[in-house]
Amino acid sequence: MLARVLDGDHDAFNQIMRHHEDRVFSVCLRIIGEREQALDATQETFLTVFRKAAQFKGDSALGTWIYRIAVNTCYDQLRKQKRRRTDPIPDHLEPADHAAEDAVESAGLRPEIQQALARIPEDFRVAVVLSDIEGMGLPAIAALLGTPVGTVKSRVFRGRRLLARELGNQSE
Amino acid sequence: MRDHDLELIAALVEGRLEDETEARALIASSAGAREEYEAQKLAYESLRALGTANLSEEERAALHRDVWTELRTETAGRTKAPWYYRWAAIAAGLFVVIGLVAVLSGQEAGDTFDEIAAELSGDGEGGAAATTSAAEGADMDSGGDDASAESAPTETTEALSEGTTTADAAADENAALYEAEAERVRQGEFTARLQDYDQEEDGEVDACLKEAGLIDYRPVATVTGPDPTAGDGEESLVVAAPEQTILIEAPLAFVDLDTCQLIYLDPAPG
Repeated sequence: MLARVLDGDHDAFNQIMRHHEDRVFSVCLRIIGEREQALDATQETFLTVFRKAAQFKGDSALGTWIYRIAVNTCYDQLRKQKRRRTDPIPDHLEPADHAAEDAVESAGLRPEIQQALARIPEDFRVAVVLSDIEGMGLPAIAALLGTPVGTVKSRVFRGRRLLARELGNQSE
Repeated sequence: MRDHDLELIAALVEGRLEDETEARALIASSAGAREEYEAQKLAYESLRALGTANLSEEERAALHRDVWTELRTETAGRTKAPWYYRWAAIAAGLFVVIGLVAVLSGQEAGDTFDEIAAELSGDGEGGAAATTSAAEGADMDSGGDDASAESAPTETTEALSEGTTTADAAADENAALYEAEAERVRQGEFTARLQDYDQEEDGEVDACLKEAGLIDYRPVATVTGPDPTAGDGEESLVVAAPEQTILIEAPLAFVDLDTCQLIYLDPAPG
């Protein structure tokens, strides 16, 4: 399919997008926690897929390659998010970040879960999102992240523990 | 807790065990195991409840639109034609206009040529120079060494004869170039919006289209390159299509942005 994209077949690229766009968006939304930014990351993911189509060697499934790009794009978005949050807040503004709360509200119908998820470290968040929300197997996640299966397993277990603690704190 | 125990608990939480006896026994025998099970169960079930997300139809449409707009902008940036390609085409186009006016006027060819040349430049000598310049431009396109490019101002009849031949040849070649350009524009290889101009200059472009007689046309692309007569300046053509037409089916007009003259009109395909 990517070979057809490289030959200038626009329909082929549209087919790839249609096949993967919901899952890419879902992964990005659960990792980033904010709908607009998840949309930006989804767009950037497919632009990167198009630009780097010639670099795809077929070592992994096309989907794995696309989700790897998506996860890396989400990491980039999170880094940008952090930079924005470290900008000094003008004195006359309220210190509480209501925009961030609104963003989490817009991420899905279970804001308390999304908020808790947003508070666990990124690596653990990515692992539990791919494993428990997207239903990917540990070997597939390991291939996607380029890390050993054991590391992924550890991140999933620890991620769940951290998430449970966050959810427990919320209910207290 | 041992790795085996953790995996056993995870498998129980995920519902992957056919026989849960060992896992249940582990949880019953150890407070730590029970705590681990409850934490994993809470997190796993919460994440499953959160579920996957889908794009709304509006978001999906916007995603496709934005991705293709971005990719076409990049492609258009990479496919700018070389400057001589445009300049030669314009010069040849000028020849066609001169030739057509001469033929349509029905006058003596030599006189007409002199008159048109004088009209173009304001005096006889300048007119001949302009014509020569145009011929040179056409020659650049063909890469040949046509004698008409060297025509002297006093040899107007001969110059017209050879110039017309050159113009005909250049016009044919020119038309082929523009046809190819038009096809590329229709295939989306250029941006759907002007990209070499700022927003505030769009009004200027619209005015230029009107001046060229293109009423109810919208600019769809531009082609630019250095203008050899203006040092570091830019030679610019705008490609326009009638309003409310689908680009792939539309006739396309090429207008010189410096003079606001219609250079070429590519008919609608089919």
